[in-house]
Amino acid sequence: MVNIYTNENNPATLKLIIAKNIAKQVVNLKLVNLHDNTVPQPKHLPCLELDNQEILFSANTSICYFVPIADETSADIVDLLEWESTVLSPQLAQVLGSSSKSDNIKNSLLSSLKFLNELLQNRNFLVGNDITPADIAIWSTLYPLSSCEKFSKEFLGASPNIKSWIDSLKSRNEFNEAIDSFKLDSSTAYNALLTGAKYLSTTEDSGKEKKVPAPQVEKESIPETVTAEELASVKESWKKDITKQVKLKQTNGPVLPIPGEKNVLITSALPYVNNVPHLGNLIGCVLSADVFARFSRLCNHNTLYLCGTDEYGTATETKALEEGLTCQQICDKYHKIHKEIYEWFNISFDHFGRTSTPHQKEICQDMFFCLNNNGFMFTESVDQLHCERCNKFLADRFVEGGCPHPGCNYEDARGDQCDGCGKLINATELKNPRCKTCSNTPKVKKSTQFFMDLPKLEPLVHHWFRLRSPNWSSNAQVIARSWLKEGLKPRCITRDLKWGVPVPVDGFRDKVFYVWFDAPLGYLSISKAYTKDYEKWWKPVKEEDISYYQFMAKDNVPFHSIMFPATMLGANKGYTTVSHLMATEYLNYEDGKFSKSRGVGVFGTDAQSTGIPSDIWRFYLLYIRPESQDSSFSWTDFATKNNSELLNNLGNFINRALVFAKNNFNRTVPEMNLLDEDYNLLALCTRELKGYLDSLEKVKLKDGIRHILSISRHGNQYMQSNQPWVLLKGSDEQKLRAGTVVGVCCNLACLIATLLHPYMPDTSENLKKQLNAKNIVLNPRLPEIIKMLPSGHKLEEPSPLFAKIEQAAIDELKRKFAGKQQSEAKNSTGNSSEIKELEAEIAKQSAKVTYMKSKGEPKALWQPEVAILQGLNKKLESARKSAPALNKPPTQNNVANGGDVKKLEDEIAKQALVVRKLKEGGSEKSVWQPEVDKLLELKKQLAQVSGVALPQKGKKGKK
Amino acid sequence: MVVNIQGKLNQIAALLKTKVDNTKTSKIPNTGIVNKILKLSKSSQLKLNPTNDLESLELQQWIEYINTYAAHIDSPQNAKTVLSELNEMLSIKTYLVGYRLTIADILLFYVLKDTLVSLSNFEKEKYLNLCRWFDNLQHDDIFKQKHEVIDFSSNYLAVVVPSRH
Repeated sequence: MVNIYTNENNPATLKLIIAKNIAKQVVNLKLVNLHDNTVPQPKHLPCLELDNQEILFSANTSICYFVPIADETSADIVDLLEWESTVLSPQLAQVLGSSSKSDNIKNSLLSSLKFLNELLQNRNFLVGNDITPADIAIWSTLYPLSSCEKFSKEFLGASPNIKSWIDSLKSRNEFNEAIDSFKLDSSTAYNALLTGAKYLSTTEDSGKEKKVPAPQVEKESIPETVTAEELASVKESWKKDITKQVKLKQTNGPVLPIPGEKNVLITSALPYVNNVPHLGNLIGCVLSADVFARFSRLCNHNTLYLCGTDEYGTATETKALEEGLTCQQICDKYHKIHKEIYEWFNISFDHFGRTSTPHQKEICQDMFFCLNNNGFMFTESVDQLHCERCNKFLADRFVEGGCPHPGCNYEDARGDQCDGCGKLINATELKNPRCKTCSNTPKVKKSTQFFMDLPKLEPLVHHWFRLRSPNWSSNAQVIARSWLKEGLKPRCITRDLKWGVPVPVDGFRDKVFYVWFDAPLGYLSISKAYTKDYEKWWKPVKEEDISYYQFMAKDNVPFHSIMFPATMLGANKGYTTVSHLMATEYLNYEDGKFSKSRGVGVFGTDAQSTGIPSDIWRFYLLYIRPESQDSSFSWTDFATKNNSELLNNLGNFINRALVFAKNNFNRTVPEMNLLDEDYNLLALCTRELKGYLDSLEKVKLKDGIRHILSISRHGNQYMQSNQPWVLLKGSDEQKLRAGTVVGVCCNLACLIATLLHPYMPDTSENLKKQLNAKNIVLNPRLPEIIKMLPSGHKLEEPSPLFAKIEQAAIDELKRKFAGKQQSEAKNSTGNSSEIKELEAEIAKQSAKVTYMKSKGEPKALWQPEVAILQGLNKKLESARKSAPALNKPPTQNNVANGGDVKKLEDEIAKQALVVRKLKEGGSEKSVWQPEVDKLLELKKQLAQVSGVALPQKGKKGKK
Repeated sequence: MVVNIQGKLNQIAALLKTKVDNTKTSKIPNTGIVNKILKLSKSSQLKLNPTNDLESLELQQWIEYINTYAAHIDSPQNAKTVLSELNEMLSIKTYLVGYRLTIADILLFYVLKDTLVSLSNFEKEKYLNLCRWFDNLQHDDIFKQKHEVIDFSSNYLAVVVPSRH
């Protein structure tokens, strides 16, 4: 049987009932709510479900299903149906079914009715001499209008023809029966029509509306309209007693999962110890994880947030060689640096550990035995480069050479990857390999290693991935899927190194486990260092359900989505595996790249030296969190966001509210008597609160901030339109009103204080102190705004939360870090004269080529010149290579004479601009060469003053 | 503002190597689009017309949908609603009507094109079914080489990211 789905009271449903009456068909009428799962897509109501499951979601089309359009009159009927669906019905729904009071649409509706009235002059039917779908459609839509006295008077007063047409059709059985069987309440029928049809509003009308300079424009510019249900629930929430709400848990001792409660384990990818983390590392893992951990604690979940430094591996050995320290010394040194940076950024680890601990060795070896006993390990002999002079096998990072990929002539490719073209490399394929320690040419030798048998584990991982991945960030899903699609290959998990967990098997004792295997197990060893009961988190009893969130940048996804789970599954001991793998894209620095290995960008320690509070850094990094695509850090944007969003929007709102309360209400929350307008504001803010909770639950941290800012934006608008400063000077009643406004704003500030806590913990603390309040518990299932600060609540002294960042300061910082960045590019001290000569030649040659090309000379002529230029470039590259490479770690700017330096830098910037302009303008070399000389002279001076060597031309730090 | 459907009709007419019949069918204001579209479909050499009554009805309702809803896609709020609705409805469909290309697909193609061009990769992934429908269409013979192809390779991450420290 045919089904009609409809919401209650929807006049469009009359169309279907009348039509089926005429066709004498039996249908099944199903009353539903719009959001019921049973409603077929696109969830427009009413809709018709045919026997073959086909859906007709257009009511007019459904009429034609029962009452087909006869060919001879079809054009007219089609036009009328089009008019009904695109003009008349949306107009009625908007004028009578929504709260929008636009005179524009109302006038359009009146002229539509006038037209219809003329059309019906001396006619019984719209088209021809009998009922057609056009009659059914338009009659149904207008019926509530005519049957409601008030509407009829207002809209049909001048349309007698419409009235008589409606009445004459109403007397027919098919119509009469329809209104009897489907009861309509005329006064609210058009609300139901709008709900069911979900008409979209046109921007055209609101555009015209804004031109009207009405005094209430400010109020009306809040575009959202609040529904009656929302208002009712807001009123209910506001009445609740804050003292009866759940309090935040206080934990003594280590956090452990509790059966029946929500238990959240959070880890962020272990930062590699060998370098100072930069802003990209921060936002990618620890900071994102921190926001979520803080949020999770606010929700009263049992939350354990762990992280630590990943210390074993080749990179540490390389670094130790570079700095002339032992591996342990390097780890100690950098672990401390990491720890301090994270402390400064207020990262709320429950424990920040490290992987070079006895726990790590024990867990790692234990896990290895598990997998070995379960048959997921095998040994195989592999070709490896061996340096005879150093008498050791060279790990990937210990060997350099020419990139083997065709087309890439990069000479300094590392054993695992080429920095020139970014492709992965097999160390034995390098052209002219050389040992990084002694520059000797290594030989290929065989060495036996342990392999993890991933192909054997693949079905298990596949199955697991399907179950667990739906909640992962989409990039994590895509990356993991692409790995699985390619098919898993065995992975070598041991290496001939010293610094690591030794392989506990005879014949392999001089080898260690490789990061692939060892690093993720750090999570377990670090939790063991945190509590002896760590297995409660990692091998939970069934009913202690553990949600495990991992945070990382996308380059770490294969580790965490394939290798680590494969290890845990292969061990077959019921280990906790990741349920939410949250990966970010990359953060760039200005328009270039952060690079750990080259030391380009702003690093953790630098952030502290700027004097900008860590909260502001947190805010901006989270604001630009590279969630769905790469984003970049920009100093100018940083200042803009601080000044516009934090200072002018958020800070301004809170400070205004609190200063008002202080000056006019003696630092207490005034008497509040809320009107509909106030509840309206609370309803809008409740929506934002809901958005905030939804976003944070789904770890859409970027969206979360925006919801907070929207709340304060609503607050600002509310204050602006109510103008409490004016009310205060008025009558007693107006003064009471001012009190209400200020009181509501104070309460919103209190809500914001808690919502800010995950993002800006210091600011949140500061604000709570000013408000004399505490964090409230957030309940993602129940977003509501309760009166947190009742009338009479005593406030503390208000003070501004944010400070302006001046453009000058930003320019200064930009210069400082750009300069530093360049100075960290490889400096050549040795054969610099040779390099200079080559550069001069290159400049000359490239000018020649450009000139020839610009004159439009044939390729045959300039091609040889280009070849010469390429040759020169190659020579320059190799000259640079042979200069001793000094890879100093980033250090603080050691500027001797700040003033002079700054002056010189300014001049250089100016001069560079002159040169660029000239070159761009296509001037002859004779014209710009003197200017270039001047520029070089200036740079030389700067080099002398600051003691920092010149950045090499053609090798700019950033482009 | 709404999308200018009349303008799209001229594009479609050019594509179908026919002309828009602009004679007004009736004196009803702000209408005539549906009739024009149906005529376009009939006058085209391509076999675009529905083959049975049910398909005719579906065609009728899709033109109405495009006219009433999809045409409002030029505001971001509406775009989100329309794209999500279409994405849901296209989850089990290759073409809007029946199992063949009809004028409804072509009309919707033109109405959505500008919006889809401006979507980010992330949004494209959100409207996977819709994008699949569109991608299929833009590679159809009738559209081939007439338009710049929108890139839907959602595997922008598929450059296998090296996992290393």
